Amino acid sequence: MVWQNSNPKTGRSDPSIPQHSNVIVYGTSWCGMSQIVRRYLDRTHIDYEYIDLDNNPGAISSLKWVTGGYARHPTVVIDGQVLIEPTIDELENTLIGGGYLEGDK
Amino acid sequence: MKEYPKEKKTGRLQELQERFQRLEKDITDSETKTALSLLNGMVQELWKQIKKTDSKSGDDHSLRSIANMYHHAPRMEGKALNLPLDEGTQAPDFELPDAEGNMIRLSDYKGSTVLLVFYPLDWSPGCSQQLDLYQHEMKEFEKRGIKVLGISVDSIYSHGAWSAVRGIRFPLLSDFNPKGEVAKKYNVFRDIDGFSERALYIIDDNGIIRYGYISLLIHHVPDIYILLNKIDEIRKPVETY
Repeated sequence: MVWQNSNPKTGRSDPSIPQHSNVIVYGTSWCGMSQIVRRYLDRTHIDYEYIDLDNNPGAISSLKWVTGGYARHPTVVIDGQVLIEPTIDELENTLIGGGYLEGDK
Repeated sequence: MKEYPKEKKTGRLQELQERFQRLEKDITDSETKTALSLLNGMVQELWKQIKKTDSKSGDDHSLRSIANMYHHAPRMEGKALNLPLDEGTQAPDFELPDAEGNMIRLSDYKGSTVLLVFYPLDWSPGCSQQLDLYQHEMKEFEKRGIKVLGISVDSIYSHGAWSAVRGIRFPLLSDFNPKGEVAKKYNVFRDIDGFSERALYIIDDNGIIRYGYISLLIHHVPDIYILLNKIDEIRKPVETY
């Protein structure tokens, strides 16, 4: 999915923010934490690719490859950094570190 | 505060470390082996730094550890055994205590749309995630004028402790004695388990059931996107010609 090159706070275009298009959420529609993570990304206006493991069983092997053999959900991959069943704090810190969110929220 | 669920990460890291160690004898001495070894050293150093950050937490970390105990709790699984009450019918009224001992009646909410959340048990994995989800979505519910009420067969004291640890701020009602009486009225009680299905009812401002849903598998948390769409559908004014 395409990263919106805008300041999440102001919504205005901000060329100083790097282009990102690499947030992937592996989850299921019935997993509570997957839903919490997706809704958090929705609320913070971060574009992400959602891979539903029930609808895409073939994705399980790629998930296991990036996690070292685990097919846990949700797993979030942000610029190659793998977060397995992250808390919202962990997710937020990683997004701030990657420049997706501002740190002084 | 930054959170690192110590037990889970430690267990996984230890397992990976053991697998890494077992591989050592299969890799012949080479620059590649040295590089892998260096990488492992970097991981260990990073882990140490994380542990240092972690040790700065105090009571908050203890509370979070308790809140996250569900990660290691026994799984709850099973197919749905019941069907929800029909939409368009009058919602059965009830009176149950909340965690503070206040008696709450459904009829107290006449004039508001209510989301009744029947869930199996406090502290269990699916219920912890489901109620966390609804607490995260509280602004969305409020924006739509929805009052959320959780109901399980747990005692008021369990509700009090569990909601405090999780930061749940909507009422949790205790269907404790007679056990599951309200769940039975709503046809969501699982006799073989002694607790309710994972079920949702949307009850409109006139006390009419507008939506009833029971998870087909008890550990499945209903899809929040479908729920919010359903609420929007129900709230949409009916066009008259």
